[in-house]
Amino acid sequence: MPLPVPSSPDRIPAAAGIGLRFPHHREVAAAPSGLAWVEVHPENYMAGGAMLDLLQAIRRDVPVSLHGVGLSLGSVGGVDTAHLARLTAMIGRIEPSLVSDHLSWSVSGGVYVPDLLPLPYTEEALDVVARNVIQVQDAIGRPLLVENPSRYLAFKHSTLTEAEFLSALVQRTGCRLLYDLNNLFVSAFNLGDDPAAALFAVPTEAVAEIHLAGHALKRLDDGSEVRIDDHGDVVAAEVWDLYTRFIHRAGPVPTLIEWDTSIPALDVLKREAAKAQRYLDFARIPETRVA
Amino acid sequence: MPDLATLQADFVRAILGPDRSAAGASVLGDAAAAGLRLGIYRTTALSGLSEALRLSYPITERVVGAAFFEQSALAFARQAPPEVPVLALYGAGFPDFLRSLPALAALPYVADLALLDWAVDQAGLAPSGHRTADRSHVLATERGIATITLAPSLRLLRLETSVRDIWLSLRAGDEDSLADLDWRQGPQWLAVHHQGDDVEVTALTPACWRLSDALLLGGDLETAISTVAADPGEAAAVAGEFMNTPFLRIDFPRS
Repeated sequence: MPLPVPSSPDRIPAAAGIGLRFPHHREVAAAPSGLAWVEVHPENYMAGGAMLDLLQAIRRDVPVSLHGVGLSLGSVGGVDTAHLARLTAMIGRIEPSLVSDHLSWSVSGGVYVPDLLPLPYTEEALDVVARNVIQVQDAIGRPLLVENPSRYLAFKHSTLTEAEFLSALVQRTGCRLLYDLNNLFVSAFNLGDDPAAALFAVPTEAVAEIHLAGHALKRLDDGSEVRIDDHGDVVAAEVWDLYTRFIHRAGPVPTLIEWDTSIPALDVLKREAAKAQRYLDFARIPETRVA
Repeated sequence: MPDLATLQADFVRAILGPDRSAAGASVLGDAAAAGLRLGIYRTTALSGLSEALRLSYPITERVVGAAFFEQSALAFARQAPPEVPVLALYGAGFPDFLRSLPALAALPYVADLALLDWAVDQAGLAPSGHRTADRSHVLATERGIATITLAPSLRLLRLETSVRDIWLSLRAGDEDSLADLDWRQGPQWLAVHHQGDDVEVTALTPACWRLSDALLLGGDLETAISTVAADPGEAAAVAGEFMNTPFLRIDFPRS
Protein backbone atom coordinates (compact mmCIF):
# COMPACT_ATOMS: atom_id res chain seq x y z
CA MET A 1 0.00 0.00 0.00
CA PRO A 2 1.73 3.22 -1.13
CA LEU A 3 2.06 5.84 1.58
CA PRO A 4 1.07 9.42 0.80
CA VAL A 5 3.88 11.77 -0.16
CA PRO A 6 3.78 14.87 2.04
CA SER A 7 2.53 17.81 0.01
CA SER A 8 4.44 20.92 0.85
CA PRO A 9 5.46 24.16 -0.81
CA ASP A 10 8.98 23.01 0.02
CA ARG A 11 8.64 19.82 -1.97
CA ILE A 12 11.80 19.14 -3.91
CA PRO A 13 11.37 19.96 -7.59
CA ALA A 14 12.44 17.77 -10.48
CA ALA A 15 15.60 19.82 -10.63
CA ALA A 16 19.29 19.36 -9.91
CA GLY A 17 20.59 19.86 -6.38
CA ILE A 18 23.85 19.21 -4.58
CA GLY A 19 25.02 17.17 -1.63
CA LEU A 20 25.79 19.75 1.07
CA ARG A 21 28.94 19.04 3.07
CA PHE A 22 30.50 20.91 6.00
CA PRO A 23 33.08 22.94 3.98
CA HIS A 24 30.26 24.67 2.11
CA HIS A 25 27.78 25.39 4.89
CA ARG A 26 28.78 28.97 5.60
CA GLU A 27 28.97 29.87 1.91
CA VAL A 28 25.53 28.39 1.21
CA ALA A 29 24.02 29.97 4.32
CA ALA A 30 25.36 33.35 3.24
CA ALA A 31 24.12 33.03 -0.35
CA PRO A 32 21.53 30.27 -0.75
CA SER A 33 20.19 31.50 -4.08
CA GLY A 34 20.94 29.42 -7.13
CA LEU A 35 20.50 26.09 -5.37
CA ALA A 36 17.33 24.19 -6.24
CA TRP A 37 17.76 21.92 -3.23
CA VAL A 38 20.39 20.28 -1.07
CA GLU A 39 20.83 16.91 0.57
CA VAL A 40 22.67 16.06 3.79
CA HIS A 41 23.52 12.98 5.82
CA PRO A 42 21.43 13.35 9.00
CA GLU A 43 23.97 11.37 11.04
CA ASN A 44 26.44 14.25 10.61
CA TYR A 45 24.15 16.54 12.61
CA MET A 46 22.77 14.20 15.25
CA ALA A 47 25.44 15.17 17.79
CA GLY A 48 24.48 18.84 17.52
CA GLY A 49 26.96 21.66 17.04
CA ALA A 50 27.27 24.75 14.89
CA MET A 51 26.68 22.88 11.62
CA LEU A 52 23.19 21.92 12.75
CA ASP A 53 22.43 25.57 13.42
CA LEU A 54 23.70 26.45 9.94
CA LEU A 55 21.66 23.68 8.35
CA GLN A 56 18.52 25.00 10.00
CA ALA A 57 19.33 28.46 8.66
CA ILE A 58 19.87 27.06 5.15
CA ARG A 59 16.62 25.13 5.40
CA ARG A 60 14.70 28.40 5.65
CA ASP A 61 15.71 29.20 2.07
CA VAL A 62 16.41 25.88 0.36
CA PRO A 63 14.50 22.56 0.36
CA VAL A 64 16.47 19.83 2.12
CA SER A 65 16.56 16.06 1.69
CA LEU A 66 17.85 13.80 4.48
CA HIS A 67 19.93 10.95 3.11
CA GLY A 68 20.75 8.50 5.88
CA VAL A 69 23.66 6.13 6.13
CA GLY A 70 22.83 4.61 9.49
CA LEU A 71 19.45 2.87 9.41
CA SER A 72 21.09 -0.40 8.38
CA LEU A 73 17.96 -1.57 6.59
CA GLY A 74 19.46 -4.99 5.91
CA SER A 75 20.35 -5.86 9.50
CA VAL A 76 18.88 -9.13 10.72
CA GLY A 77 18.77 -7.64 14.19
CA GLY A 78 16.32 -4.98 13.05
CA VAL A 79 16.48 -1.22 13.00
CA ASP A 80 18.08 0.40 16.04
CA THR A 81 15.11 2.12 17.66
CA ALA A 82 17.35 4.70 19.34
CA HIS A 83 18.76 5.67 15.96
CA LEU A 84 15.31 5.72 14.43
CA ALA A 85 14.24 8.09 17.20
CA ARG A 86 17.22 10.35 16.41
CA LEU A 87 16.22 10.36 12.75
CA THR A 88 12.59 11.10 13.58
CA ALA A 89 13.68 14.01 15.76
CA MET A 90 15.88 15.32 12.94
CA ILE A 91 12.94 15.09 10.53
CA GLY A 92 10.86 17.12 12.96
CA ARG A 93 13.59 19.73 13.19
CA ILE A 94 14.56 20.04 9.52
CA GLU A 95 11.23 19.16 7.86
CA PRO A 96 12.91 17.54 4.86
CA SER A 97 11.11 16.96 1.61
CA LEU A 98 12.65 13.54 1.09
CA VAL A 99 14.10 10.91 3.43
CA SER A 100 16.27 8.10 2.13
CA ASP A 101 18.74 5.40 3.08
CA HIS A 102 20.45 2.43 1.42
CA LEU A 103 19.80 -1.16 0.45
CA SER A 104 22.63 -2.32 2.66
CA TRP A 105 23.51 -3.03 6.25
CA SER A 106 26.10 -1.69 8.70
CA VAL A 107 25.16 -3.06 12.12
CA SER A 108 25.63 -6.59 13.44
CA GLY A 109 25.93 -7.75 17.01
CA GLY A 110 25.84 -4.20 18.33
CA VAL A 111 28.82 -3.12 16.21
CA TYR A 112 28.43 -0.29 13.70
CA VAL A 113 30.65 -0.56 10.65
CA PRO A 114 30.86 2.76 8.79
CA ASP A 115 30.27 1.40 5.31
CA LEU A 116 27.31 0.31 3.21
CA LEU A 117 27.80 -3.44 3.34
CA PRO A 118 26.27 -5.69 0.68
CA LEU A 119 23.33 -8.03 1.06
CA PRO A 120 22.78 -11.36 -0.62
CA TYR A 121 19.69 -10.92 -2.74
CA THR A 122 17.62 -13.75 -1.25
CA GLU A 123 14.06 -14.15 -0.02
CA GLU A 124 15.39 -14.16 3.54
CA ALA A 125 17.12 -10.81 3.02
CA LEU A 126 14.01 -9.43 1.31
CA ASP A 127 11.91 -10.36 4.35
CA VAL A 128 14.42 -8.61 6.63
CA VAL A 129 14.65 -5.42 4.56
CA ALA A 130 10.88 -5.22 4.01
CA ARG A 131 10.26 -5.59 7.75
CA ASN A 132 12.78 -2.87 8.53
CA VAL A 133 11.53 -0.47 5.84
CA ILE A 134 7.97 -0.82 7.12
CA GLN A 135 9.16 -0.12 10.65
CA VAL A 136 10.95 3.03 9.50
CA GLN A 137 8.02 4.25 7.40
CA ASP A 138 5.64 3.70 10.31
CA ALA A 139 7.92 5.82 12.50
CA ILE A 140 8.49 8.68 10.07
CA GLY A 141 5.00 8.66 8.55
CA ARG A 142 6.10 8.90 4.95
CA PRO A 143 7.62 6.70 2.25
CA LEU A 144 11.32 6.02 2.56
CA LEU A 145 13.47 6.22 -0.55
CA VAL A 146 15.78 3.20 -0.78
CA GLU A 147 19.01 3.53 -2.75
CA ASN A 148 20.76 0.84 -4.76
CA PRO A 149 24.30 0.58 -3.32
CA SER A 150 27.64 0.35 -5.08
CA ARG A 151 28.89 -3.23 -4.80
CA TYR A 152 32.29 -4.83 -5.05
CA LEU A 153 31.24 -8.45 -4.66
CA ALA A 154 28.27 -10.75 -5.15
CA PHE A 155 27.13 -13.69 -3.06
CA LYS A 156 26.95 -17.26 -4.30
CA HIS A 157 23.51 -17.83 -2.86
CA SER A 158 21.73 -14.77 -4.27
CA THR A 159 18.58 -15.84 -6.09
CA LEU A 160 17.33 -12.43 -7.21
CA THR A 161 18.86 -9.64 -9.24
CA GLU A 162 19.16 -6.28 -7.54
CA ALA A 163 16.33 -4.93 -9.70
CA GLU A 164 14.10 -7.88 -8.81
CA PHE A 165 14.89 -7.33 -5.14
CA LEU A 166 14.07 -3.62 -5.33
CA SER A 167 10.89 -4.23 -7.32
CA ALA A 168 9.66 -6.70 -4.72
CA LEU A 169 10.59 -4.29 -1.95
CA VAL A 170 8.57 -1.48 -3.55
CA GLN A 171 5.61 -3.81 -3.96
CA ARG A 172 5.73 -5.07 -0.37
CA THR A 173 6.41 -1.80 1.43
CA GLY A 174 5.28 1.09 -0.75
CA CYS A 175 8.75 2.58 -0.50
CA ARG A 176 10.21 4.67 -3.31
CA LEU A 177 13.56 4.32 -4.97
CA LEU A 178 16.58 6.55 -4.96
CA TYR A 179 18.26 5.42 -8.14
CA ASP A 180 22.01 6.00 -7.98
CA LEU A 181 23.20 5.70 -11.55
CA ASN A 182 26.85 5.94 -10.56
CA ASN A 183 26.28 2.99 -8.24
CA LEU A 184 24.52 1.12 -11.01
CA PHE A 185 27.50 1.67 -13.31
CA VAL A 186 30.13 0.90 -10.64
CA SER A 187 28.39 -2.29 -9.52
CA ALA A 188 27.86 -3.50 -13.07
CA PHE A 189 31.53 -2.98 -13.91
CA ASN A 190 32.71 -4.66 -10.72
CA LEU A 191 30.41 -7.65 -11.11
CA GLY A 192 30.69 -8.06 -14.87
CA ASP A 193 27.15 -6.96 -15.69
CA ASP A 194 25.76 -4.63 -18.35
CA PRO A 195 24.44 -1.41 -16.76
CA ALA A 196 22.44 -0.47 -19.85
CA ALA A 197 20.59 -3.76 -19.71
CA ALA A 198 19.73 -3.20 -16.04
CA LEU A 199 18.84 0.50 -16.37
CA PHE A 200 15.09 0.05 -16.81
CA ALA A 201 14.76 -3.18 -14.84
CA VAL A 202 13.69 -1.30 -11.72
CA PRO A 203 10.11 0.04 -11.50
CA THR A 204 10.74 3.46 -13.02
CA GLU A 205 7.50 4.92 -11.65
CA ALA A 206 8.86 4.37 -8.14
CA VAL A 207 12.05 6.35 -8.76
CA ALA A 208 11.68 9.57 -6.75
CA GLU A 209 15.28 10.75 -6.88
CA ILE A 210 18.46 10.13 -8.85
CA HIS A 211 22.02 10.33 -7.57
CA LEU A 212 25.01 11.15 -9.75
CA ALA A 213 28.62 11.13 -8.57
CA GLY A 214 32.17 10.48 -9.62
CA HIS A 215 34.20 7.35 -8.94
CA ALA A 216 37.76 6.08 -9.20
CA LEU A 217 39.36 3.23 -11.10
CA LYS A 218 41.68 1.07 -9.01
CA ARG A 219 43.85 -1.94 -9.78
CA LEU A 220 43.82 -4.70 -7.17
CA ASP A 221 46.80 -6.89 -6.26
CA ASP A 222 45.67 -9.65 -8.62
CA GLY A 223 45.72 -7.22 -11.55
CA SER A 224 41.95 -6.90 -11.79
CA GLU A 225 40.38 -3.47 -11.98
CA VAL A 226 37.53 -2.21 -9.83
CA ARG A 227 35.63 1.02 -9.82
CA ILE A 228 35.53 2.57 -6.34
CA ASP A 229 32.51 4.69 -5.47
CA ASP A 230 34.55 7.41 -3.77
CA HIS A 231 32.42 10.42 -4.79
CA GLY A 232 35.66 12.22 -5.49
CA ASP A 233 35.42 13.40 -9.08
CA VAL A 234 33.11 14.72 -11.75
CA VAL A 235 30.41 12.41 -13.04
CA ALA A 236 31.78 9.92 -15.58
CA ALA A 237 30.65 10.16 -19.21
CA GLU A 238 29.15 6.67 -19.08
CA VAL A 239 27.02 7.68 -16.08
CA TRP A 240 25.81 10.84 -17.82
CA ASP A 241 24.78 8.60 -20.70
CA LEU A 242 22.77 6.33 -18.40
CA TYR A 243 21.21 9.42 -16.84
CA THR A 244 20.05 11.03 -20.08
CA ARG A 245 18.63 7.74 -21.32
CA PHE A 246 16.74 7.24 -18.08
CA ILE A 247 15.17 10.69 -17.77
CA HIS A 248 14.23 10.83 -21.45
CA ARG A 249 12.13 7.73 -20.98
CA ALA A 250 11.03 8.05 -17.33
CA GLY A 251 10.76 11.84 -17.24
CA PRO A 252 12.53 14.46 -15.09
CA VAL A 253 13.31 13.36 -11.54
CA PRO A 254 14.96 15.32 -8.67
CA THR A 255 18.65 14.77 -9.28
CA LEU A 256 21.55 15.16 -6.89
CA ILE A 257 25.27 15.69 -7.45
CA GLU A 258 27.23 13.97 -4.65
CA TRP A 259 30.85 14.77 -3.82
CA ASP A 260 32.35 13.45 -0.57
CA THR A 261 36.12 13.13 -0.95
CA SER A 262 38.57 15.78 -2.14
CA ILE A 263 35.62 18.15 -1.92
CA PRO A 264 36.11 20.98 -4.43
CA ALA A 265 34.91 24.58 -4.41
CA LEU A 266 31.16 25.02 -4.28
CA ASP A 267 31.18 26.39 -7.82
CA VAL A 268 32.44 23.06 -9.14
CA LEU A 269 29.44 21.29 -7.64
CA LYS A 270 27.13 23.97 -8.98
CA ARG A 271 28.53 23.48 -12.48
CA GLU A 272 27.90 19.73 -12.28
CA ALA A 273 24.36 20.45 -11.06
CA ALA A 274 23.88 22.97 -13.88
CA LYS A 275 24.90 20.28 -16.37
CA ALA A 276 22.35 17.88 -14.88
CA GLN A 277 19.78 20.67 -15.05
CA ARG A 278 20.41 21.12 -18.78
CA TYR A 279 19.73 17.41 -19.30
CA LEU A 280 16.56 17.68 -17.21
CA ASP A 281 15.46 20.59 -19.41
CA PHE A 282 16.13 18.50 -22.52
CA ALA A 283 14.03 15.67 -21.06
CA ARG A 284 11.03 18.00 -20.85
CA ILE A 285 10.97 18.46 -24.64
CA PRO A 286 7.84 16.56 -25.63
CA GLU A 287 8.26 13.50 -27.78
CA THR A 288 6.24 14.68 -30.76
CA ARG A 289 6.32 13.42 -34.29
CA VAL A 290 8.69 15.70 -36.18
CA ALA A 291 7.38 14.98 -39.63
CA MET B 1 25.22 -21.27 2.63
CA PRO B 2 24.99 -19.33 5.89
CA ASP B 3 21.83 -17.59 6.97
CA LEU B 4 21.87 -13.79 6.95
CA ALA B 5 22.68 -13.45 10.65
CA THR B 6 25.73 -15.69 10.30
CA LEU B 7 26.84 -13.96 7.13
CA GLN B 8 26.67 -10.53 8.77
CA ALA B 9 28.61 -11.70 11.83
CA ASP B 10 31.26 -13.26 9.53
CA PHE B 11 31.45 -10.03 7.54
CA VAL B 12 32.06 -7.88 10.61
CA ARG B 13 34.82 -10.25 11.73
CA ALA B 14 36.40 -10.02 8.28
CA ILE B 15 36.41 -6.22 8.47
CA LEU B 16 37.63 -5.77 12.02
CA GLY B 17 39.88 -8.82 12.26
CA PRO B 18 42.31 -10.78 10.12
CA ASP B 19 40.05 -13.73 9.28
CA ARG B 20 38.27 -13.30 5.96
CA SER B 21 37.78 -17.00 5.23
CA ALA B 22 34.26 -17.44 6.62
CA ALA B 23 32.88 -14.36 4.89
CA GLY B 24 34.86 -15.09 1.76
CA ALA B 25 33.32 -18.56 1.43
CA SER B 26 29.97 -16.94 0.55
CA VAL B 27 31.43 -14.61 -2.07
CA LEU B 28 31.42 -15.39 -5.78
CA GLY B 29 34.86 -16.06 -7.20
CA ASP B 30 37.93 -17.81 -5.86
CA ALA B 31 39.15 -17.27 -2.31
CA ALA B 32 41.91 -14.86 -3.30
CA ALA B 33 39.60 -12.66 -5.33
CA ALA B 34 36.97 -12.76 -2.58
CA GLY B 35 39.58 -11.65 -0.07
CA LEU B 36 40.57 -8.70 -2.22
CA ARG B 37 36.96 -7.65 -2.70
CA LEU B 38 36.28 -7.93 1.03
CA GLY B 39 39.38 -5.81 1.52
CA ILE B 40 37.69 -2.90 -0.27
CA TYR B 41 34.96 -2.82 2.38
CA ARG B 42 37.55 -3.27 5.12
CA THR B 43 39.59 -0.33 3.86
CA THR B 44 36.56 1.95 3.60
CA ALA B 45 35.28 1.07 7.06
CA LEU B 46 38.59 1.36 8.89
CA SER B 47 39.65 4.51 7.10
CA GLY B 48 36.28 6.02 8.04
CA LEU B 49 36.91 5.28 11.71
CA SER B 50 40.48 6.52 11.53
CA GLU B 51 39.30 9.75 9.91
CA ALA B 52 36.65 10.22 12.60
CA LEU B 53 39.33 9.95 15.28
CA ARG B 54 41.68 12.25 13.38
CA LEU B 55 38.98 14.93 13.30
CA SER B 56 38.38 14.64 17.05
CA TYR B 57 42.05 14.48 18.06
CA PRO B 58 43.92 17.00 15.87
CA ILE B 59 46.51 18.10 18.43
CA THR B 60 47.20 14.53 19.49
CA GLU B 61 47.91 13.67 15.85
CA ARG B 62 50.19 16.69 15.58
CA VAL B 63 52.20 15.46 18.57
CA VAL B 64 52.55 11.75 17.78
CA GLY B 65 52.77 12.18 14.00
CA ALA B 66 50.44 11.00 11.27
CA ALA B 67 51.89 7.49 10.97
CA PHE B 68 51.78 6.64 14.68
CA PHE B 69 48.33 8.18 14.97
CA GLU B 70 47.04 6.12 12.05
CA GLN B 71 48.37 2.87 13.53
CA SER B 72 46.94 3.71 16.94
CA ALA B 73 43.58 4.73 15.49
CA LEU B 74 43.25 1.52 13.48
CA ALA B 75 44.20 -0.60 16.49
CA PHE B 76 41.66 1.24 18.63
CA ALA B 77 38.97 0.92 15.95
CA ARG B 78 39.43 -2.84 15.77
CA GLN B 79 39.37 -3.13 19.56
CA ALA B 80 36.52 -0.70 20.22
CA PRO B 81 34.38 -0.16 17.10
CA PRO B 82 31.44 2.23 17.36
CA GLU B 83 28.00 1.11 18.45
CA VAL B 84 25.99 3.94 16.89
CA PRO B 85 26.22 5.54 13.44
CA VAL B 86 27.00 9.02 14.72
CA LEU B 87 30.74 9.23 14.26
CA ALA B 88 31.03 12.64 15.92
CA LEU B 89 30.39 10.80 19.19
CA TYR B 90 32.90 8.03 18.50
CA GLY B 91 36.24 7.78 20.25
CA ALA B 92 35.73 8.69 23.92
CA GLY B 93 37.96 5.77 24.93
CA PHE B 94 40.86 6.72 22.67
CA PRO B 95 42.84 8.65 25.34
CA ASP B 96 42.76 5.64 27.68
CA PHE B 97 43.79 3.43 24.78
CA LEU B 98 46.78 5.68 24.10
CA ARG B 99 47.68 5.60 27.79
CA SER B 100 47.77 1.80 27.61
CA LEU B 101 50.26 1.71 24.73
CA PRO B 102 53.78 0.65 25.81
CA ALA B 103 55.27 3.07 23.29
CA LEU B 104 53.72 5.97 25.20
CA ALA B 105 54.35 4.69 28.73
CA ALA B 106 57.01 7.33 29.35
CA LEU B 107 54.97 10.09 27.73
CA PRO B 108 51.84 10.45 29.88
CA TYR B 109 51.16 13.91 28.50
CA VAL B 110 50.08 12.42 25.15
CA ALA B 111 46.98 10.82 26.67
CA ASP B 112 46.29 14.06 28.56
CA LEU B 113 46.50 16.06 25.33
CA ALA B 114 44.03 13.57 23.87
CA LEU B 115 41.68 14.11 26.81
CA LEU B 116 41.85 17.84 26.16
CA ASP B 117 41.26 17.30 22.42
CA TRP B 118 38.17 15.24 23.20
CA ALA B 119 36.79 17.76 25.69
CA VAL B 120 37.20 20.56 23.14
CA ASP B 121 35.65 18.44 20.40
CA GLN B 122 32.63 17.45 22.46
CA ALA B 123 32.17 20.96 23.86
CA GLY B 124 31.82 22.10 20.25
CA LEU B 125 28.73 19.94 19.86
CA ALA B 126 26.86 21.70 22.66
CA PRO B 127 24.68 24.73 22.03
CA SER B 128 26.62 27.97 22.33
CA GLY B 129 25.76 30.65 24.87
CA HIS B 130 24.09 29.95 28.19
CA ARG B 131 20.75 28.57 27.25
CA THR B 132 20.46 25.55 29.50
CA ALA B 133 18.14 26.33 32.37
CA ASP B 134 19.05 23.24 34.38
CA ARG B 135 22.50 24.65 34.98
CA SER B 136 21.23 27.81 36.64
CA HIS B 137 21.90 28.53 40.30
CA VAL B 138 21.11 31.39 42.61
CA LEU B 139 23.47 33.17 44.98
CA ALA B 140 22.88 35.97 47.47
CA THR B 141 25.26 38.85 46.70
CA GLU B 142 25.69 42.45 47.76
CA ARG B 143 23.61 43.45 44.73
CA GLY B 144 20.84 41.00 45.52
CA ILE B 145 20.02 37.48 44.37
CA ALA B 146 22.11 36.61 41.33
CA THR B 147 21.19 33.88 38.87
CA ILE B 148 24.27 32.05 37.65
CA THR B 149 24.15 29.92 34.54
CA LEU B 150 26.93 27.63 33.36
CA ALA B 151 27.74 27.40 29.67
CA PRO B 152 26.10 24.23 28.31
CA SER B 153 29.35 23.38 26.55
CA LEU B 154 31.32 23.36 29.82
CA ARG B 155 33.60 20.34 30.29
CA LEU B 156 35.90 19.88 33.29
CA LEU B 157 39.18 18.02 33.15
CA ARG B 158 41.67 17.05 35.83
CA LEU B 159 44.92 16.13 34.14
CA GLU B 160 48.05 14.66 35.69
CA THR B 161 50.37 16.65 33.44
CA SER B 162 50.66 20.32 32.47
CA VAL B 163 49.49 20.25 28.88
CA ARG B 164 47.23 23.28 28.66
CA ASP B 165 49.81 25.70 27.31
CA ILE B 166 51.31 23.06 25.02
CA TRP B 167 47.86 22.35 23.58
CA LEU B 168 47.15 26.08 23.14
CA SER B 169 50.51 26.68 21.45
CA LEU B 170 50.02 23.83 19.01
CA ARG B 171 46.48 24.86 18.26
CA ALA B 172 47.62 28.42 17.54
CA GLY B 173 50.51 27.19 15.39
CA ASP B 174 52.88 28.94 17.79
CA GLU B 175 55.44 26.17 17.98
CA ASP B 176 58.33 28.48 18.87
CA SER B 177 56.92 28.78 22.37
CA LEU B 178 57.10 25.03 22.91
CA ALA B 179 60.72 25.41 24.00
CA ASP B 180 59.54 27.23 27.11
CA LEU B 181 56.86 24.70 28.06
CA ASP B 182 57.22 21.62 30.23
CA TRP B 183 54.53 19.05 30.89
CA ARG B 184 56.20 18.06 34.18
CA GLN B 185 54.80 20.99 36.15
CA GLY B 186 52.23 18.92 37.98
CA PRO B 187 48.50 18.32 37.57
CA GLN B 188 46.09 20.79 36.05
CA TRP B 189 42.42 21.49 36.71
CA LEU B 190 40.87 22.78 33.49
CA ALA B 191 37.55 24.07 32.23
CA VAL B 192 36.70 23.89 28.52
CA HIS B 193 33.84 25.77 26.94
CA HIS B 194 32.85 27.17 23.58
CA GLN B 195 31.78 30.71 22.98
CA GLY B 196 30.65 31.16 19.40
CA ASP B 197 33.35 29.74 17.17
CA ASP B 198 36.05 30.02 19.83
CA VAL B 199 37.05 27.56 22.50
CA GLU B 200 38.42 28.64 25.84
CA VAL B 201 40.55 26.42 28.05
CA THR B 202 40.70 27.94 31.52
CA ALA B 203 43.05 26.85 34.29
CA LEU B 204 41.29 26.72 37.66
CA THR B 205 42.43 26.22 41.22
CA PRO B 206 41.50 22.78 42.57
CA ALA B 207 38.86 24.32 44.83
CA CYS B 208 37.22 26.28 42.02
CA TRP B 209 37.33 23.18 39.82
CA ARG B 210 35.59 21.12 42.53
CA LEU B 211 33.01 23.85 42.97
CA SER B 212 32.30 23.90 39.23
CA ASP B 213 32.15 20.12 39.17
CA ALA B 214 29.65 20.05 42.04
CA LEU B 215 27.43 22.49 40.15
CA LEU B 216 27.68 20.47 36.94
CA LEU B 217 26.47 17.49 38.94
CA GLY B 218 23.47 19.48 40.05
CA GLY B 219 24.63 20.67 43.46
CA ASP B 220 23.47 23.79 45.24
CA LEU B 221 25.88 26.72 44.89
CA GLU B 222 26.14 27.89 48.49
CA THR B 223 26.42 24.32 49.77
CA ALA B 224 29.09 23.57 47.18
CA ILE B 225 31.14 26.61 48.21
CA SER B 226 31.04 25.61 51.84
CA THR B 227 32.04 22.07 50.92
CA VAL B 228 35.12 23.00 48.90
CA ALA B 229 36.39 25.75 51.24
CA ALA B 230 37.89 25.09 54.66
CA ASP B 231 37.08 28.50 56.14
CA PRO B 232 35.22 31.74 55.32
CA GLY B 233 38.34 33.31 53.87
CA GLU B 234 38.88 30.47 51.44
CA ALA B 235 35.17 30.43 50.63
CA ALA B 236 35.35 34.07 49.65
CA ALA B 237 38.42 33.43 47.53
CA VAL B 238 36.82 30.46 45.75
CA ALA B 239 33.59 32.34 45.19
CA GLY B 240 35.55 35.28 43.80
CA GLU B 241 37.52 33.09 41.39
CA PHE B 242 34.38 31.25 40.33
CA MET B 243 32.45 34.45 39.65
CA ASN B 244 35.24 35.61 37.34
CA THR B 245 35.41 32.46 35.21
CA PRO B 246 34.43 32.95 31.55
CA PHE B 247 31.95 30.06 31.45
CA LEU B 248 29.33 31.81 33.59
CA ARG B 249 26.55 34.17 32.87
CA ILE B 250 25.50 36.16 35.91
CA ASP B 251 22.12 37.84 35.92
CA PHE B 252 21.16 40.30 38.63
CA PRO B 253 17.58 41.32 39.24
CA ARG B 254 16.56 44.56 37.60
CA SER B 255 16.35 47.37 40.14
